[in-house]
Amino acid sequence: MSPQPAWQPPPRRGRGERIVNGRILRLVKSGPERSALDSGEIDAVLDHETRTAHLLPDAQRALMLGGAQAANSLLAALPRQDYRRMLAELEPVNLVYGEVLYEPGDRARHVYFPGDAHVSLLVVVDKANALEVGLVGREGMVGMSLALGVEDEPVRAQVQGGGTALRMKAAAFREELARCAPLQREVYRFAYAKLALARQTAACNRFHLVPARLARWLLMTRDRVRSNHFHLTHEFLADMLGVRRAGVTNAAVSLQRRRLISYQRGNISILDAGGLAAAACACYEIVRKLAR
Amino acid sequence: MRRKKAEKTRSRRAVLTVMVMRLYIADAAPNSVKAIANLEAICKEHLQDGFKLEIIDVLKFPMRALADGILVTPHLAKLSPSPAAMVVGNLSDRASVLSALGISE
Repeated sequence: MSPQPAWQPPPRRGRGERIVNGRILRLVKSGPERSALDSGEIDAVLDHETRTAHLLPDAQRALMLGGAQAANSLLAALPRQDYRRMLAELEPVNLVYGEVLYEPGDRARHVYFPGDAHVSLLVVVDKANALEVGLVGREGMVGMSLALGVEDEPVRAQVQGGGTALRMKAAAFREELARCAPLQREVYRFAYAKLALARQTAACNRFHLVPARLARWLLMTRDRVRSNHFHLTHEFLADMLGVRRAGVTNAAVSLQRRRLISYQRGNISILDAGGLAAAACACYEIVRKLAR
Repeated sequence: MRRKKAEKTRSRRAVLTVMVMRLYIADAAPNSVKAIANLEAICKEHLQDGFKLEIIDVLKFPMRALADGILVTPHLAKLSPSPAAMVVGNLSDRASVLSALGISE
């Protein structure tokens, strides 16, 4: 067995900041930068390959905790003293696009409160097919089963927009939920919104045309990322909408022809949000109100 | 006596020459905040008004930092007078910051 460097993640796929750590150590190999990194004096590392800045866990924690109440609406709605108490158990993580937080049947070890990340909840029908039944961003939390007293996750939770989130261990969350009435209120309110969204999505998938559903879904994503630009592959969109890739292409072309969006190699830009809202099915307005 | 005079001349030279620096930081992350505070203290003591400092937040302007070849933050770059120099970290090691800036205590 070959010896492993101390920083390497465990064999099970590392999540959150462990991935960032590994990447950071690969980026800063030597020199004064590495010395400063080793002595804890670095906040961020710039990746010249991906042209992005990666925050170190401590810096991320400090920035997230400084602004987490605004970053996640569910936590922001809690009284200050409850939120402060929870801070000790909340851990900032960086969620990576495509990362699977739970598979159906997994025992959830953490709940996640997204900041600028957003996570899709997918019903996995078989190996080739999955269908989105929920989308969670800064308005809520991932790991609702735990709140409802169920150990196993019924759906796949997959990161659809990379970014920051706060996570809490399952046991700590259960304990907090039992003693904190405002957290219960917020979590149950969100559970109701998720249930209503799933119902609406089921009806939408059955009755509405793919371009209208795509428009609805793009607007929902926009509301969560608070940006008109995001990255999504055809495959991902096909799972979101429960259609084949060709169906996604046709729907995207139809919206592009109406100059509502531009879509190139997975990079989506919403060009006319008002027009896209008009092109979306009525479900968008209903789910938008549910998401607060 | 001679030593005192030399010190005075040196300090006057430091005041007359405008030092141009650029500090790359990451928002209000702890080391970035420390670096700004440490640098401000050094500038106040040794450079008075004889410096120009540009602070660049790499989270807001990553492209700017990438174009300048920055790898980590905090990163202090002394641009002029030559020789150019750089210090990385939270600038709490006062001696190495002064040495990089060419200031003798």
